[in-house]
Amino acid sequence: MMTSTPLPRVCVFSRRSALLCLIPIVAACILRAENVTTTDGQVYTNTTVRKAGSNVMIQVVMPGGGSMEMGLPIAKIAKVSFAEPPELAKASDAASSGNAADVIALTEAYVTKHGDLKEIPGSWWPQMARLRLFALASLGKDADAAALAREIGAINTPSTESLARGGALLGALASGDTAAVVVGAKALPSVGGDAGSALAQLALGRALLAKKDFAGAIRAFLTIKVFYPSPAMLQPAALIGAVKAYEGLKDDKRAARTLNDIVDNYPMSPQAPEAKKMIELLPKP
Amino acid sequence: MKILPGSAVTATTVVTRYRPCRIRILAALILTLSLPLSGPLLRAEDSPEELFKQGGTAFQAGDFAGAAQKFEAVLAMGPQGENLELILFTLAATYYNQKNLPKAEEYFKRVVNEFPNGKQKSKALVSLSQIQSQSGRKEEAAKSLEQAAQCGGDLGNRARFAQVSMLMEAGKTDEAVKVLKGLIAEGIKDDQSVQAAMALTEIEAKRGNLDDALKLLDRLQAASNIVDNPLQLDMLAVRIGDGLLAKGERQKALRMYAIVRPTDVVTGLQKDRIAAMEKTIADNKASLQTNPKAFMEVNAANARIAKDMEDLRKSLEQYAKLPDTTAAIRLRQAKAYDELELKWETILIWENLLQAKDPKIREDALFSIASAYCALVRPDDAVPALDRYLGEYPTGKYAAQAGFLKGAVALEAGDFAKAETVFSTALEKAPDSPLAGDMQFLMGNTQFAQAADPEKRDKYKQAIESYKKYLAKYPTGRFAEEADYRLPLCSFMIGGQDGYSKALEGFQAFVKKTPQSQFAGDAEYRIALCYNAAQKYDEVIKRCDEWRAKHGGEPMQAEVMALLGDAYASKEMPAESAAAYRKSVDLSDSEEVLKYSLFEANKQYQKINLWNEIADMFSVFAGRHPDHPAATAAVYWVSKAKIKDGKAEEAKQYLADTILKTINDRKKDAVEQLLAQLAQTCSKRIRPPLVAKEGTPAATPAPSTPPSTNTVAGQEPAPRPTPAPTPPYDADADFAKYLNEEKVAAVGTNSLAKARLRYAQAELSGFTKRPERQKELMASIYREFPADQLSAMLLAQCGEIALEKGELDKSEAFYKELMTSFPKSDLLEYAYCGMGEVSLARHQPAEALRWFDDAVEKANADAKIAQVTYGKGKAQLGMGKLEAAKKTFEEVAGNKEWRGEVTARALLSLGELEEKRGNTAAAIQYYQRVFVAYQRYPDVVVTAYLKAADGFIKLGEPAKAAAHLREMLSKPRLAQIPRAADARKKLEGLPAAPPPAESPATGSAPAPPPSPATP
Repeated sequence: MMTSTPLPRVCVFSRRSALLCLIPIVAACILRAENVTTTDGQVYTNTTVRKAGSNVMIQVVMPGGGSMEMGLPIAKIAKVSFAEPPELAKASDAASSGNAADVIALTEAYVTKHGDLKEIPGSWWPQMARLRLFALASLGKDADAAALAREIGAINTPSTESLARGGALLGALASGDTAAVVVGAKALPSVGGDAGSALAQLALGRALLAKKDFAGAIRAFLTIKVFYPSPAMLQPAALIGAVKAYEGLKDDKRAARTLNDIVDNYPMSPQAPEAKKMIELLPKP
Repeated sequence: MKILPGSAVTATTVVTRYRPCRIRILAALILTLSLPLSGPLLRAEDSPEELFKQGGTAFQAGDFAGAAQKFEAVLAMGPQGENLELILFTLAATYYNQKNLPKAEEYFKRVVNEFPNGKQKSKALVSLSQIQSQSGRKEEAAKSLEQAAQCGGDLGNRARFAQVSMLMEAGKTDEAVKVLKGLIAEGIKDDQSVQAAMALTEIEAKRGNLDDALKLLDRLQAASNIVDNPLQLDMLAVRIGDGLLAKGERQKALRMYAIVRPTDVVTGLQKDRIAAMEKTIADNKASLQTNPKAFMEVNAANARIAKDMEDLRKSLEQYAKLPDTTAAIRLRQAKAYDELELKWETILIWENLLQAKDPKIREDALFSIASAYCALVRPDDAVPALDRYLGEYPTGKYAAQAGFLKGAVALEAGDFAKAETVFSTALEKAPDSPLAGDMQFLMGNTQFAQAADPEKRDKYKQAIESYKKYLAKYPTGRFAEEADYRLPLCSFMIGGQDGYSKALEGFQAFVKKTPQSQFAGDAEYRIALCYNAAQKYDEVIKRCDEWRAKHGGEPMQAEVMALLGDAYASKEMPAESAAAYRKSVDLSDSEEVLKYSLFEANKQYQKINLWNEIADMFSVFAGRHPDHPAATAAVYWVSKAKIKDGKAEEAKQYLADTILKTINDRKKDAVEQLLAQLAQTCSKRIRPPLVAKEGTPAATPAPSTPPSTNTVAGQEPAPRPTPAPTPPYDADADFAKYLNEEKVAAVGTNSLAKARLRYAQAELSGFTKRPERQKELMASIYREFPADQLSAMLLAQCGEIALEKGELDKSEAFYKELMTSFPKSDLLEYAYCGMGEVSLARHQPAEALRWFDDAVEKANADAKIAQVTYGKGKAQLGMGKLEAAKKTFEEVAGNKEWRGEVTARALLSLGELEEKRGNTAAAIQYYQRVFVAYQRYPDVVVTAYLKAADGFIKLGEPAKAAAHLREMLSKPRLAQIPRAADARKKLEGLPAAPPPAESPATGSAPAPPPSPATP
């Protein structure tokens, strides 16, 4: 382990004084990291990490005993090897089957507690938050999704920015500003974009559904199916939207076919029970 | 470039890209400068640091022999620990570059053996495997890699990639797959797992395991934000998609193709990645300013990044040289979606292709979009799309098809006039196009269809001309037979003696010419119809019998039996007629024919007093078609027939039994209708026939039977016996015999059954003229039963009760439950209308207007349409849209079918509207119309009187106001209404009663005040 640093030392404490520092550290969210690699190639192993302002505080063991906490600007961090949260793999599995409810449950604690560390390279927060965002969008929790998208946007990378823009449209949708959704969705590419575009199309579809522009809604929802096969969690949400639009156009045949698609391909999704109920209500041939 | 042997582990044919172990010796050498080598103090030029530095300089200059000499000298000084490990490794690397592989191997082995937990172990093992591989010792090389892989960490993973490469070269694909699967066992979450997944996908695709490849690609797609090489991902997707499509697995192929992004997007992403790598290299170099000791790590990292960047650049260059395949892939997607009959998706793909502005595919795209809209039967989108195509390609390869489709889509959408115009124009432009024949025939069909409008009967003649033209030009065309059949059909539809005569002749000729035609059965049925029109009933009967023998089992048989029934009925043969209709009922698939034959049979049975047959027929019908709209009527007729048959008890029991079968089923709307029917049946005593029943009942004798069975010819009928006085009839007790709490509990204990029983009791109270009890019973349902337990009908009624009581939240709860639990119910209009009224009561006219609009648009309001329209007017009035409101109220007031309380209320509202406009005189006229014409609705009438009186006071005519109020109070029905107190109070301040005069309402308003009253 490297023990020297060109950066200012924040505090040095012995085991005895560690207790005194414990309370603020715990409150500020602290995580263990296998390695912290700086942009200049230094590696700090087996340490803890927390954020303080624009610095990342890492704890290092002194050669003569005791430990030292030192601050590194986030820009100087190449990567922090955090242990992968055990919920991530489960949430990813749930997400791939469209099970938004499980994703919500699995990501809640992590996303709520570790938002502080979201900008640190190597943080698992963006992945957890991304999954949670899609789950919220899938469940139609538009206001919550928009709030989370704003948080994700603060990470400031092209993909998070796109997610933030797509997610913001869900906020406009929640406040009933369908016109803003229609305008906002045009600002993101409808084809060739990323998951942010998929979110935007979901918001657009829902807005057009509210405006009873059923053909437009179908196009928006199916754009997700045709051009954005992932994230999987948005698929059943888009398909159920398409069903409602088909019903608006009195196309019961397509509605039935799509409902069956939801039940068959996304049986764990929150839309599946709704789809089953709707199938029962469809006019029988 | 001087390299360590580990970096040569790049040769691979299958693994597309992985990060081999690359350690730049220069970096290692410079690092050593900073490390203290142990040993005795020496002269500066002989110190290990100096010797190591000299060795490094020689190494850099390519003088590997010199370098080796210096490093050997350092080694001879006996370094220990990490320093020994480092010098051994450095020497091994130097000998490797000197091509002295045995020596290199010896030192690498020393690193591995002497430092089993050393930092250089995994690098040494990877390098060792290279030497062993180059020397043809593949087994040993594999073992070395296996050992390196077990070291774990980044280098361990790199060793695994090298292992995969080696295994693939040796044809050990299964083992390679096993290693790769280990690399992604914990998910695709970093660059190495991405690379492993890509390699595995490629291998599985090549092995034909397309489903496995598909799953992997799905996972990669989900992790696309960490995929460094987007080009590679897209190319993989295309390859796997093609494989799946070739196997006919369209849905799966489409999932793969969906991953493919437009060329500019992918190349943009690739360029972004390269730029990001360049920046990282620059940042890393810059960091050395502050931390020069990290040169080895930085240099090694930068070397790795530079290699990756080079790989990305190369694939980008190669990709740029390839023809753009995006369009080809989109075309495959469009085709696959089209074959799956997913037309909306097809449209999206073609529109995406249009955006590419490729002139080669523009024509196809425009036409395909239009034809997809045609397939979706969306004329509003299809016609502009077809026009767009024809505008750009008037003589294009699809021009004839586009013209045809334009007409066909209008025909499909029922816009026959437009279809005719389109076909006619297209035929004029291209009379010999390949589709001209079809268009000629379809033009006849459009004319035929238009002729259904009584004002366009002449269109039948035009249709005849079109069919004749078709037959003249295309005597063997694909529609020739149908045109041949349609010609007499047109004459048949024209009707009249001439029409039927021509039709008869034409149909007979058609049947003779094409006896096996699919239209032969219909033609022969129509021949019989022609005879029926000519009142040749014997011929009709004969033809129908022949038809049955010849075409029995064909779809028209129910119609033929109904016609037979008609013929017998015309011949006054009710038994035969009823039997034929009955057969038609049994055979019918069509709701229309079923209903017709059912009720015609009923009429015939009644003529011959076969009430038991009626009961049987309707009973069978209700059993077979429990959800048929006529099922409730059938139950009614069964019960009625039983009563007529003198089986009143049985009738009521039948009704009760039928009710009890579904009384717990919330979704059965008909239960309430049957309950009302039972209540009505029980509401009064059913008098037994005065004459003893013998054979057929006497109540409705057949015309041919004597008026009464006990009438003796030539004698007066015997006087009726004086009936013995009967005890007072107790309707409640009678009803309770069939339906009571005990019986209801026996079929289930849910709240709905209890609520329904109470509803029936309320209905009974209504029929026995006990309105207060009726109200109380209904109110008890509303009070005691939760909304989520009630049926649609009860929810609608409870909503209304709550609304009347002003309990708006409760009313809303009932209506919302109706909308949620019965989204397809016919009673939904009650909920929308009720919600509109709730909003009006909450003074939210805009909200109310939306509900009323939804009542029409979403619930197809029918029973409540008058109330909905009136509510709409109230909402418009509330929003200050006076002109719109006036029109709406006038629509209500002017609709004769809606005449009733809603008319009175509309007139009252028109008066209020005029008052808002300051036109009191006009307002009074409306109020007067209310109390002149709608006395049946005392609440409305009292309001009208009071408002009229207020109007007169406002106009300064208190005497007239008083006269109106007195007139109102003179009517006992109005005087007892609580609001009459307002009139009395108002009257106190008005002039005293005038002498007898004509009704104030009869004069024109405002009339001159009456003369002062004189005794």
